Amino acid sequence: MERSEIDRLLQSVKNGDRESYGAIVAAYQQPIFNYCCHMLGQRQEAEDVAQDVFVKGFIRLNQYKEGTSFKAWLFKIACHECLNKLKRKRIYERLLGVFSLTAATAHAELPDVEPEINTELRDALLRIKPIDRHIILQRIVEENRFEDIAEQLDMSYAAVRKRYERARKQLQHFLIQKEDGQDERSFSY
Amino acid sequence: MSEAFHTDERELKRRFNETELPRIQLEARVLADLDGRLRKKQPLRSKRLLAAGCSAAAVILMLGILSSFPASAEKLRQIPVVGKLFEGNIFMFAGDNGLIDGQNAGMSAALNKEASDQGVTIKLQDVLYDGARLSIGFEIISEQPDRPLFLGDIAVTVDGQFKPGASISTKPHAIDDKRSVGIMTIDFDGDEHADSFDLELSIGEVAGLTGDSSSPYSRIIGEWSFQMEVANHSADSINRVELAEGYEAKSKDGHFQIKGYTLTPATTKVDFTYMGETEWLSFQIKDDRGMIIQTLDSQFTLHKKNAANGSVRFAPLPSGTKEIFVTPYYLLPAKKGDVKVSAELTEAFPIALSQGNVGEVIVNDVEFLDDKTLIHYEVQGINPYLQYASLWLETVDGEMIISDFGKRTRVSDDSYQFVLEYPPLDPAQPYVLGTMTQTDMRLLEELTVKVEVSP
Repeated sequence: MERSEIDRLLQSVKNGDRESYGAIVAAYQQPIFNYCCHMLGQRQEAEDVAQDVFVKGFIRLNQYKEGTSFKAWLFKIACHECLNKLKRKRIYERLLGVFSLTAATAHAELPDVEPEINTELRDALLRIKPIDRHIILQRIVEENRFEDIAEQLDMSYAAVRKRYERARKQLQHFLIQKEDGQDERSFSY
Repeated sequence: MSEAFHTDERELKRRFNETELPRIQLEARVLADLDGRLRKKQPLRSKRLLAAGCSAAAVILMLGILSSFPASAEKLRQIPVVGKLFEGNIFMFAGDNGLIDGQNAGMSAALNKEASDQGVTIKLQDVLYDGARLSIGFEIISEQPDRPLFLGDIAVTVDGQFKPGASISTKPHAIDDKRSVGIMTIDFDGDEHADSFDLELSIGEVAGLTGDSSSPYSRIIGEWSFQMEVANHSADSINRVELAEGYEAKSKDGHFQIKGYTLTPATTKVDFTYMGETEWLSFQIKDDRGMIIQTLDSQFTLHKKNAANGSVRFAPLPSGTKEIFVTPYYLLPAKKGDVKVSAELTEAFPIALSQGNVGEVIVNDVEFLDDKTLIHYEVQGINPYLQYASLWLETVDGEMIISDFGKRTRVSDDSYQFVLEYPPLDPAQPYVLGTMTQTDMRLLEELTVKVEVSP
């Protein structure tokens, strides 16, 4: 969707036409959902988080700066939502793990294999840090500029560039490990 | 794809493109969610368990209590005796010193409200609101033995206005397989000076730990709604001070500034801003005698560039305190988790058990009385209110004797000496003392800020 069309829809939403927001959701739901899926590695959670992203986008619409990319702004919300989700999950797992040392491991909580998802890629992706995962997805999938990713993460260009190179090498390494059948570790979050 | 991409990046792109994710239709769900939110003031649909919803620091404090014990859920299920006898008063049983003092001073009010759904009854017993915190004693009773502990998916409405940004933390205690009690503390944007307000709580989820390794968690979706009037019964005793600039410190770690404080008979609350890394950040207060005040919880809002502002709550200050020293610190969670440390109980007192880099717990005496067993101990170290909760007695087979962290009473104002009360035990039997290594911390002493407090 053209930026001018998005701007027009956003103006309608601000004027009280909530249905216009449906058109915006329709335009961006798939990339946001795909992103959440890759970030979280779990389809149902990704659906829930993607929904929250659009709801929060609506509620915080007055914080969106006109003239900037609305899609990038949504991805920024999605990034925070996914990181929060992972953080809460990690804390909750630890809480539960304290009670049930034998049962509650992150590995046990990994989703059942979902056949439509490339499990090799998913597993390798889940082994790199969430922030690095975001950088990889924004760069490789969304083909965003490093400057924009740095803006999303409130990081310097150099820091993002460095993390990207490291994360990309890690991801390739894990993918090769997976292909060679060397991956026997459990996930750490 | 951009020409700037290298071959290996193209290969990764190809892999992502080959990943077939399902098509999704969210428009209707999002619009329905927004409609529902406007009509019913519903919370975000995502499930947020209380325990996981509170700030990281508060969670860590809670983790500290929970990680005091190594018992697995299955072992916990086998332990018949709760450590501290629950006699019906939730604030007295599960509350911190501030809540207990506040209730004794007449600052709390009885609620005695209950709601039932899906075979689970939630009761709200007492509320204490002092302008620095809003705490409610709750009880969960389930018809099924699914060890209910956590409340989730909670919507908070104040004076008819939905508060989507409200945060809620809790410290639950399991009584038995079907029952738990705890304290929930609610924070929301509002008028802290209000003497009274109407509060509505809508709880959408109860979660618990089954102890069954094949299905360790229980989750019950339902609706438990409460309405109540909340009043500040200590308005005359509140000392709320906003500080001018100058109460601040800088170091290579960050910039810490105290913006104000609130003192009540039940709570000490410090408002702050912090520039620096905020993960695992917490705060310590010492009074003018150098004694550490127990931290209750903290919450903060993160802004750009690692800036945060928020508040941290502590137990009330000892009377006569004229100045406090507030120091930020970082918890340093161990990568390999905490380790159990044990020592045979003999008469060769004192018996010291190491809690890692944090310090040690020293058992000075154990009294086997007809009606109870008293363990006299002291903690020495840098985080005494985390350390003190981690001492227990077990059989030589490693079986815990009580399931809760027990009744612990501080018995000295100028040291961290406690008495832990157990049920009566056979002194002829052998026992083992246990503790866990505790989460290490790094005090940012260069960022200590001194504040003179008015009585």
